[in-house]
Amino acid sequence: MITLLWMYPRHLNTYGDGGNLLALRMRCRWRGIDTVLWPVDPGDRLPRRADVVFIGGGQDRSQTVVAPALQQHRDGLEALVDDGAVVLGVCAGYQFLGHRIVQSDGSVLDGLGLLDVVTAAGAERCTGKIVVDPHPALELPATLVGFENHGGRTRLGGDPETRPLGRVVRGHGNGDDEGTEGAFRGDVFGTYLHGPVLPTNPGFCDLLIRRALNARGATTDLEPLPDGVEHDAAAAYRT
Amino acid sequence: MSLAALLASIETLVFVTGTNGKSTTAHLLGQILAATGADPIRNRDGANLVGGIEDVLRAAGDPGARPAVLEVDEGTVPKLMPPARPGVFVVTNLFRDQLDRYGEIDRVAETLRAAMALLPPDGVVVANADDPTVAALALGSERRTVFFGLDVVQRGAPGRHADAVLCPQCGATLVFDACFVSHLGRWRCDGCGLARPSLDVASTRLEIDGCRGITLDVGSVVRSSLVGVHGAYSLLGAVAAASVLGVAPASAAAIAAASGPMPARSEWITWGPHRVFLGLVKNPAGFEAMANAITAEPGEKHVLFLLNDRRVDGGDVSWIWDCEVERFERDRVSAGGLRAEALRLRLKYAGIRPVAVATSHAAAFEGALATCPTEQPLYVILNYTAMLDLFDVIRKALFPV
Repeated sequence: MITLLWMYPRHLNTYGDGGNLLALRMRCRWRGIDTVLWPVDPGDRLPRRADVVFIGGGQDRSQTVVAPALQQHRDGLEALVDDGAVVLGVCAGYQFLGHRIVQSDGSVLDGLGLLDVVTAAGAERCTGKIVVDPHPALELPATLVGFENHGGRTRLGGDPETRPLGRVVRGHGNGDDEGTEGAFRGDVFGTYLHGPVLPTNPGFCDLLIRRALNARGATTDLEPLPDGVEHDAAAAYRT
Repeated sequence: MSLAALLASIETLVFVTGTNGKSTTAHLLGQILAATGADPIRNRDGANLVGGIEDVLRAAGDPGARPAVLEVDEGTVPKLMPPARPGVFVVTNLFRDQLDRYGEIDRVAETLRAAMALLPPDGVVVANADDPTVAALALGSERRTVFFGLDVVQRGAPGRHADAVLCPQCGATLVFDACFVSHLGRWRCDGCGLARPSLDVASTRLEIDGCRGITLDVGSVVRSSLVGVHGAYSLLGAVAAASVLGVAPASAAAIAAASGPMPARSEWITWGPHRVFLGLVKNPAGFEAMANAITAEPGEKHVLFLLNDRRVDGGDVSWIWDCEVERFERDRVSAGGLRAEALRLRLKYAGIRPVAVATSHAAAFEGALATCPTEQPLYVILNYTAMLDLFDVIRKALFPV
């Protein structure tokens, strides 16, 4: 049984974020693994245990509205991560995993500090198809693909455990000088890729499921699934 | 004459903008004005960017003598606002749509707010009161307002994919006493007291007869072949705009109800022995209303999705994951278009195995028809350039070179 926590689905939910939860659920179901989806609204109590925590994208206004709520959940989320929860943040959700977000009007939103990254608004939006060569430590089978649409530029700090999710082959990613995209630290992942990212990149989705199961002591590997449809869909981003 | 001079020369100028329903609302308003003896200039079918509007004004000869009803793309409004100073400015609704082209709803709303500040002092804003973002825009415009909406008792709450759940004034979560589709409904904010404005043009009745039509009561009962709740809003928006131009709502509603739909905007066509329903959908809110109408039809449905990602469609197709395609899980579904492979992926995760998938619009259409018995209609849900491509297929079949 895998518990999927969806943080603030009514506030942070753009670009088909629900598809990421659907991919996690279906790829578990196809392997006979039960899942429970647990939506969390601002002010809600967190469950004692969660296996995967998902934070999606949102408009600037929604981001401002949920920022204080996220600080109230900060200790609880940290405890879940210490207990073995895998975390994925996409777009605004990724930015919230870092220390802080400097918005275009200069105001600052505090993040969770789970990744050693800082985001600041850039001049132009980064929009378009994106292809990323994943970090070798992740041992992913293929390049990560998706669509990006964000105004923020994200910089990784000095923490050696926070590493880029990959290198940009096409697109913008973090928008830093080194051509990195996303970040990860242990089992905490952040990315600008949507499409949504998990159904389009089944290897990445399975990595999250595998890590979540491993944290609970599972030792067997995941049963492979036929992913021809996924691979065809991903190919459209590489052309 | 420059475009600026052309626009400035038009005495009675109506702009219709918003995410969904621009074409139909402008079409119906044009029909209402034509029935009163006017000869309105209209930009037909999606020619709603600067170039398309310039073309239609040039073709109109001396445009100044005729009223003009122009549907204007949300992103194009600021490019026309100076010099155009439309006396009537209609906003249908604002939904998340082509985020890579337009950006967030708040950004579009900000653009429209700036544009509306340039309306003439006696200009009138005609706005959908049921849409919180649109209503707040109109209330802040410092212009005369005419609000339209649905005044019917219906339960419901915004779905997970609704956009405007936060108060446009204070950011608190809005309360809905009724919700008709996406975030359109009878709303209020318990934080700051902002609430749906009172309705100047309203229907006290909404009956949706599947994909066959709607029945409304706008002072008198009218039945229209327009489809679904979006059809109702288009009719009400046109009637509200016509009331500003001196046409009584009851007569305007009767004329609008007698007008058919725009091509592919929930239109029935006959194709050989088949009956085909064409439903243009370009965002989750449109999909929700379309799915409501189609699933209200009896029996197992044959449904074809066509999805393109040309420039005007937007290159980001992830919005299909915000559409509840699971509602067609008991039906016979096929998929096509330039992004057929993205549809196939979406369907797979909805647990739907499509009966046919093809990138070519012709092959997808023929494949869907081949599995559809002639006594049952084929429902085609398609986005903008997929519609143009399908029309091309139909034209070539009718008039082979």
